[in-house]
Parts: sequence; C-alpha cells; structure tokens
Amino acid sequence: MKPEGDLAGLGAAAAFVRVEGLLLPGHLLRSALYLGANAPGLGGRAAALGGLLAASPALAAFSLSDRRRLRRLAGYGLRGLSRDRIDALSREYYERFLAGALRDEGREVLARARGAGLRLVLFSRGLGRALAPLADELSAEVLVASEPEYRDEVATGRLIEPPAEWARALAERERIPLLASYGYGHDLADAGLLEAVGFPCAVAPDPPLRRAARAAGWPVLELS
Amino acid sequence: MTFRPSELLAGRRLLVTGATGFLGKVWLAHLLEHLPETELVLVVRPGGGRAEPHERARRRLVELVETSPAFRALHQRLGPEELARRVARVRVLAGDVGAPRLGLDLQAPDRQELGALDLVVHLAGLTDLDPELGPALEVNVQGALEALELARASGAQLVHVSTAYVAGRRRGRIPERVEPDAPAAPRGASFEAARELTDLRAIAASLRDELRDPRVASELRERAEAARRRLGLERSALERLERREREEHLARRGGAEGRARAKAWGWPNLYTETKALAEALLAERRGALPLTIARPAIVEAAWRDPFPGWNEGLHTSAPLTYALTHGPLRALPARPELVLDVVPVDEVARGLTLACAAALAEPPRAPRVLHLGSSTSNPFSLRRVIELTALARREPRAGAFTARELLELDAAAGSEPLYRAQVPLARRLLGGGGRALGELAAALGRQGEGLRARAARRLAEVARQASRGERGLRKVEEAVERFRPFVAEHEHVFASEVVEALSARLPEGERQRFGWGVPELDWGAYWPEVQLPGLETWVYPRLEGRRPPREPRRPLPALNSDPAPDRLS
Repeated sequence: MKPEGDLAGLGAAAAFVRVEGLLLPGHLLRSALYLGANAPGLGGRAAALGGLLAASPALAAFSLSDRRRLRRLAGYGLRGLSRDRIDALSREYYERFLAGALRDEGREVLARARGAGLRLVLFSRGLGRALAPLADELSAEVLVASEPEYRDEVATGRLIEPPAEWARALAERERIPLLASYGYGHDLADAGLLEAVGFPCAVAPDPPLRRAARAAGWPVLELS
Repeated sequence: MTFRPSELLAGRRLLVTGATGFLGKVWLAHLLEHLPETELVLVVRPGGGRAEPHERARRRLVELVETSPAFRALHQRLGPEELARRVARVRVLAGDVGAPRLGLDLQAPDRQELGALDLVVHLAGLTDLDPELGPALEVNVQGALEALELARASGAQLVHVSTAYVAGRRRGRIPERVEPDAPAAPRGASFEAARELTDLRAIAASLRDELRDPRVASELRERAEAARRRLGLERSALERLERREREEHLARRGGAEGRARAKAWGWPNLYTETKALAEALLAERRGALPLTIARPAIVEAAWRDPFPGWNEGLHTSAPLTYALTHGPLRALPARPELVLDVVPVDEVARGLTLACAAALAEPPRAPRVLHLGSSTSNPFSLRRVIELTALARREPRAGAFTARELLELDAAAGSEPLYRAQVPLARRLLGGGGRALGELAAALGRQGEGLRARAARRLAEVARQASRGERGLRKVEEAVERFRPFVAEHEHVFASEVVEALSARLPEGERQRFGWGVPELDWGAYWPEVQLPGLETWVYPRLEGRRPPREPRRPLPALNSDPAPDRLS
C-alpha cells in the first residue's frame, strides 16, 4: 500500500476499491442462495435452490473463482424473482449479513482516502442492490457491480457484470485522472484496473493476482 | 393553449355535495389551500342538536376542519387564523342528497345565491360495494338526478363524480364516454336505464312490503326477543331491537337482490350498477346543460396531501391487502397479469379541480368524461401489488439463516383451484383442530403446576390462536368474494387522455398545485412506504373493529365564538 503522504493533494483523483477483499468477504453465491431461498412460494424456492444445487456439480468441475461459472451459478438463485423482490431481499441480505462485517482495515484505508480528498469508487462482482446501502453508508460517489437481467420485470437468471473497460470509461466520463488515482484489487479480474491507476495495491489477492503483483511490483496488503 | 385553474376558478361559485366524505374532505382542503378566491357552497347533512339545520350543518363542517387529519397540513401551512378566515367564507347549507333539489329551497329569501351558481359538483354517494338497495337508489341515482335539477334551476353546469368501474365486465381499453347500455346484457334482454331504475325501485318496495308479511314480522320479532334475552335487556328494549332486525333484514335481502341483479347485467356489484344508472340518466336528461363526469378508479391513500398515507377508504383495497397479510392463507385467487387501477386520493382531488376548470374554460357540448386512474399511464399489475404487499410484511431477522425459514412463505397470487383446496383444509385445521385441542386441554385440567397442567395451558393457548385464525379466515373469504372481480375477472384498463391533456396544458406554477402526477408515481415506493403504512394506521383498525388514532382538536379561533359572516346572502 502507498504511504499516506502520497495521497495528499489529489483532489480530482479517486480510490477504486474492490468491495470483496478490502471491505467485505465474497458474497455473490451466498446472497443468490438467500434470495432463492426466499422466493415467493414453495415451488419457487424449490426451483431456485434445486437449479443451483443441480448446476453446482457440473460447474464445480471448474474453479469457483472462475467468474463466468460463478455468475452462472448465482443466476440460478435469482431466476424467476421479480425486480421488487430482488431489491427488497438484497437490502435484507445486506442488513442481516453484511452491515456488521465491514473490515477495520477497509475502514482505515477509506478514511485515509477521504482525508486526502479522493473520490470513492466501489466496485464488486456481487449484487449491486445488496451493496447500495454500503455505498450510501460510506458516501461512495460511484458503485459499479453486477445486476440481474430482467424480462418483464422478472429476473432471467443472467447476471450482467460491468464491461471490461468500465474503469477507463468512468474515468473519462467523470474526469478522474487515473495516474493520480489508487486501485485496490482482489483477484486477477482486477489486474486491468491496477495496471491503469498510478497507485495499485493487491488486497489479499488470489494466487494469479499475487503472481501478477509480484511481477509488476505492486504492493500487496494482507488482511488479518 | 395554456390552462390556468387558479384564474378560471377565482370568483366562481361552486356548490359541492359530499364534502364530508373521504375524497370530499381532501378536495375541500385542496380548494381551501390553493383556490381561496373560489366561493364554496357546501351541502352538508346537519349534525345533531337543537340549533336550526343550517347552523348544525356549519358546526359539522367546523368540527371536521378541527378534528379530521384531512385538514392537518392546512392548519400547519396556513395557521389557525388564516384557515379560520377561509373556512368562514364557505357557505354551508343543510341538505339531503336523496331529497328533491337536495333538500334546498331555492325560493327561500336567504338562498338567492343558489340562483347564481357556476358549477354543481356532486360527490355524495354510498361507496359500500354492496349497499342496501333502497338507499343506494335514493342516494346514488336519485341524488345525482336531483343535483342535475338543482344545476338546471341555478344556471350552473354539473360535474358528477362517478367511478371508473361503471365499465363492469367490459373488456379492453375503456373509452372516456358514457355507455347507456349494460356491460353484458343476457341474451335476448335489452337494457334501458330508466326502466331498470323503475324495476329496481319496485324490488325495493316489495322488500319493504315483505316486512308486513305476518310470517316475516313474526320471525323478526322472535329474533329480537332472543337477542333481548341473550343481552339481558329490559322488555322496553324490544321495540329498538325489532327495528334493528327489520333494518338488517332489508339490508340482507336488498343487498342480495341488488347484487344478483347487478351481476346479471354485467356489473360486479350494486354500487357500480347504481353509478352507471346515474351516468346514463344524467346524459339522457341533461338537455343542453353541460355535463362533466369524473370517474376515479380505486381511490387510495394520499400520496402527498394532506400527508402521505392518510386514508379512510374501507371499501377500497384494504380488505384485499388485509387478507393477504393478516389471514392464515398465503395464496389468493388472482390473475397476476391483470392491472389493479389504484389512484391516490390527492391525485383524484387534483383531477377534479382540472375537470372543474375545464368545464368553466370550455363548457362541454357532449358529456365530458375523465377517467382518474393509473391503468393506462402507469399500470400497476396485480403481480406487483401482491409482491410489494407481501415484501412489506416481512419481519426483519438477525443471525444465521435457518431451515425453518424455508417454510415461512410470503403471500402470493394463486390459482382458483389452489385457493379452493386451501380454504376447507385451513377451516378444518383451525376450526376442528382448535376445538379438539380445547377439549383436550379441558380434559387434562389447567389448574396446578404439574407437567399435565402446563401442557393443558399450552394446548388451550394454541386452541385460542386457532379460533382467532378461524375468524381471520372468514374475513379473508369475505374479502376475496368482494374483490374477486377486481383481482381475477376485470380485463380492462381505463383511458385517461382527458386529464393528461389538461395537465399538460398547465403552466409551471399551476402544475405544482394542480398537475396530474399519476404517470410519474413510483409504485415501488408508494405502495410499501405510503399506502401500506397508511392502511395499518388508518384503515385496518376499522376492519378489526378498533378506532384509528384520534386527531388532536385544532380549534379555529374566529369560528368558535363568532358566527360565520354570511358574505353570500
């Protein structure tokens, strides 16, 4: 991690913070399970959970860190739920399981970033609706996360992730100088962002990101 | 062309009936706040007391302004002095909606103002979906015709408040025009409003005659006597109890006859049939008199005014949402794809102001009909109504997820066969099971501290809960039957081009006060944050036989001691 002094004076810059890792444990699959378990009727619950369970052996053949597979698996939990239900249950999930789980290390980093006048951009592979209260609590300017795909206000079971170049597009739109900005990534999918920012940091990285960090000379932050 | 209700209505004289009802109060508060230059003449049924009727009617209005939540915001925004001044300018006349010319004497020396009205706005009506036949005809049909005659005699236009559900079983997009026919006349039968009114009056008269039948009279007397003994009352109470039995008999028989008749013509209930009859007869008998008909859909909690959530509508969606969230059933017969046309009461008030202003700006040659609803501009599907209602009732939980939660189901739309299967099963479980547990508890004996006594007390408690559940189930069944047409049968939406076009013509300053906001209403916020909490506070207590919270009295200083200045006479 960059020392505090380096953050000073970068008013228009931002701290891009991956939620999983620095702030919270990974939660996409668990939140999808929770939502599926709270489908409106017994039939809906059986379908959501059954689909998830039936799909897991096949998908487990691949690593769960495989984002595409993980996303597909999580989608089974959401399929058939209304937008209203996903919104309400996501808030419920946050209140029940995530609100008290914010890591102290994360709070400290955010406090320092705020102290240095950085804008806060949270990004996640999890459900945006479940993280919206966190973004509000932390006064984040932007939250970039996955959203379910809907047809007629009912989830199709497909989760849409932000596009690969979301950080550059956002920086361009919001006039964020990437070279003066900080990035906190957690897995290899975040490597592109860490390459783009001036002050990258790998937080409790998965093995591929750890190797990439070592090769690129990025600092690595281990969590307690 | 711009359209300014504040200018169109300033200095105009409006006679209003039904200002003490749910919509009436909200509209009155809206007029007092935003159109202080409009002269209001209210026809109010006088309250009790010995003062002359007009004074008693005025006292009733003052009582309402001082104690109804509908005027809470007005007290705060205007302050007591200014509100008192505005209320003092309102002329209040004692009247009776079913009487000739609403019970008003146009020739009386102090009633000259009735000869110079601009609009008669007729809101009064019985809104019970299954009202007693006689009063429903008297108030909903004859009252509207009397309002027409009053308008004719005083040179005014008529603005009549009806309901969108006069559409009955008609399907598709319901246009904004008066339909003189029944929605679904039986094969070979032809419908004619005047003849139907005559027939219904004959049925009401025959029901009253039935009371003179010695067999019926004797049966009602026996019931009254049984009630007297059960209640332990003196013999002198018998006459009162007999009168009550006669009234209940009329209500029961009249309600059943009226409902059957309405359904035969394609209306879901007598309320909508009587409102449709009134519309058809007004259109037929108006001559050259300009007629505007405002048709609200299901009028629900205030969105913004007088404050979010205020509601008095017992006969709107309250029984349905109550059944969904308080009863033992978790699936009600509903077709999720249908649209429930609900509209906040304050939006209806705005729509009514637009209708009045439009009548003054451009008196309609043919009847002008305005639907005041949401089903075409911002449809709210039953799927969503039920989903948001169910989600709002979820209790916050803490700790790890448990397997038991998998069996705790939220309410959902279900099929008719599923509902039909659920009800007898639930009744058997709650009724038969509860009684069996109660008897077992009695057999075990509840006295003492032993294991047996503790088990008996626990069983007795479960039996009591089952008994409460059985009562709840009965309420749910009633609500389902009453609302079945709205949730499982009506396949229509109401065109609302007129109110939208009027609103679009408002300049910015006027739009804030009078603009039609329904197309922008966010149901996802309104339903869980406004409507359902409003029902919990203001309406469910009435369904449970309790009183909603009492509003603290906010006295109007000038009016209590000083009689109102009679500016109009």
